[in-house]
Amino acid sequence: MALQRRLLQFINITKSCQKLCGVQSYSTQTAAQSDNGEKRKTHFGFETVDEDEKTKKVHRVFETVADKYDTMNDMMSFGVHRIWKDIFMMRFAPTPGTKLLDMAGGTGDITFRYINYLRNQASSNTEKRSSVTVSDINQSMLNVGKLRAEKQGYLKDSPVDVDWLCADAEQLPLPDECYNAYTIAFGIRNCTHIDKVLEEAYRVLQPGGRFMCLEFSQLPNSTMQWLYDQYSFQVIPVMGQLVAGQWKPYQYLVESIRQFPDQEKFKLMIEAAGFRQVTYENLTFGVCAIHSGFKL
Amino acid sequence: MNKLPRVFCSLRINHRLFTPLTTISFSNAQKTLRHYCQGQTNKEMILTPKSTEQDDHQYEEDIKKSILVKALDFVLKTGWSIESLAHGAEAVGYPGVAHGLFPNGGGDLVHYFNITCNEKLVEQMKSWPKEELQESKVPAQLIENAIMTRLLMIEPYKSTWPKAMAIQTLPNNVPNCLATLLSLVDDICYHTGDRSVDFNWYIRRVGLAGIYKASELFYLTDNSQSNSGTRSFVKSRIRDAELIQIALNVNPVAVAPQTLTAAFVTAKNMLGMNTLK
Repeated sequence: MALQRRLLQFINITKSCQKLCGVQSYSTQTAAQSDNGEKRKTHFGFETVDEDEKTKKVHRVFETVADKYDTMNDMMSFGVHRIWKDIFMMRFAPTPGTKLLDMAGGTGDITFRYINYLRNQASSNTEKRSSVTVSDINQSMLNVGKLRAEKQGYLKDSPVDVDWLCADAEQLPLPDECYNAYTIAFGIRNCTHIDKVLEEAYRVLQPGGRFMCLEFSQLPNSTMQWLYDQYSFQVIPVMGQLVAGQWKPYQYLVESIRQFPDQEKFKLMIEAAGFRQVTYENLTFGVCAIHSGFKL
Repeated sequence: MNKLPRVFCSLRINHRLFTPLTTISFSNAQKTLRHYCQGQTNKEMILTPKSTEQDDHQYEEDIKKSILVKALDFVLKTGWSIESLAHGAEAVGYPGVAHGLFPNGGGDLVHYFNITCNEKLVEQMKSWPKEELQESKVPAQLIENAIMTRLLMIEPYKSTWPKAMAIQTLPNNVPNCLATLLSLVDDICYHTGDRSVDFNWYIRRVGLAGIYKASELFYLTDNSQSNSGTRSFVKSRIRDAELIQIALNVNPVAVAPQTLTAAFVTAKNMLGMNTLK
């Protein structure tokens, strides 16, 4: 396990070094210290930090961006993130009776689409109640979500029961096999230990349950990757400063995208956690990818 | 690894219908899955170096097949669609979202149905008496029986079959559909005695595919007693095919008089000077 992780991160570093354009490269290698309690290090964007510090830093990032989160999403992706999430929900195609755990689902985009999808289905099946648990490590993101849910009327006479839970994806305070679907949209790259998140997902899913992840990924074409890098590093932090008054969170955002493993590597990680029939689909030439796996 | 002793004493049978195989391969590394302290069901298996991707694949295919089998029961109510697959998954014991195992949705269900019907047909054809094959002419009766048998397998789903045919023409389902059609036609030709190795091989199969598809369309609107209408349709189409074959094989010089007469009569018809005899 340690060897695999080290290998993955080593490959990531060589890759990210190749792809950097005009941005200083930092040493982002995880030190393989596993003896005598020396602190393990990981990446936070292009910085190297201790692992426990990363959780705190990520927490701070999302606290500062929570109230402008949705506006900034629209600005940075020119609204395309809505289409990505719609496609994600179409691929998921939930049926009545689904119990969804929407991880890192703070402001509720995926949850609301889930509720709409189930509402629009011919409700021939009124005995089976569907439910969704919106979970996020950050309470301020959840608060924004709750506010939106009330304002847009998702909570009253809905065919779906909604629950809110503040929890860490790496250590879910939930019993085994209590959900039959797990989604995590644009959240997994912020987690310190992705493999732990995947293992927790495997644990809480029932057999036959589906794991779906929507996440930024790498473009297969290096010219397009270069264009995308230019846009990410030159435009996005500037937009962040102008619109939300924050530069660093958006710098972290684009850096963390580069640090995340690419489609094939992430697929291998999902398979390593025990999921089967793992597939992925690229959206917008690979800017994001939907990964899906089943616990069989 | 210090986890090994725990692995050995905690191997318990999964309570689900399908016990996972004892070996699962994870990207060539030997590792143990995490042991869950909650302790009721066990998800831990040791990977041995000998396990193959083949076993995994087979395991997944078995599960998919069991869902498809159950899903067929729901087709009359909810059609060839994701809903049937979801109900099928629930009947097997998996949650409805397991329909995601089939990215083509209803298309996968139709494809599975076609494959199983073809297999059933082959089994039956192997046991039919083959005296007709001794003669050197086209075994029309055998072919007719084969086509009728295959069409009658659609009978339980006749009301929803038009939708299934439409699903088969969707671009992502076309490769599968063509492949099953070709294998069906190939099997029928082979088991009715065709051993040709020349261009006839292609002509026969394409011709038979055409006959089969036409009969399928006819069958959908056939309300006659015990499908006699379809049977006579198939008979006439096979006779037409025989005639075409004779016409193609004939020596042009030998039938020159007939060809000339035919051309002459056609010209007279077109000029309006036709004579009825």
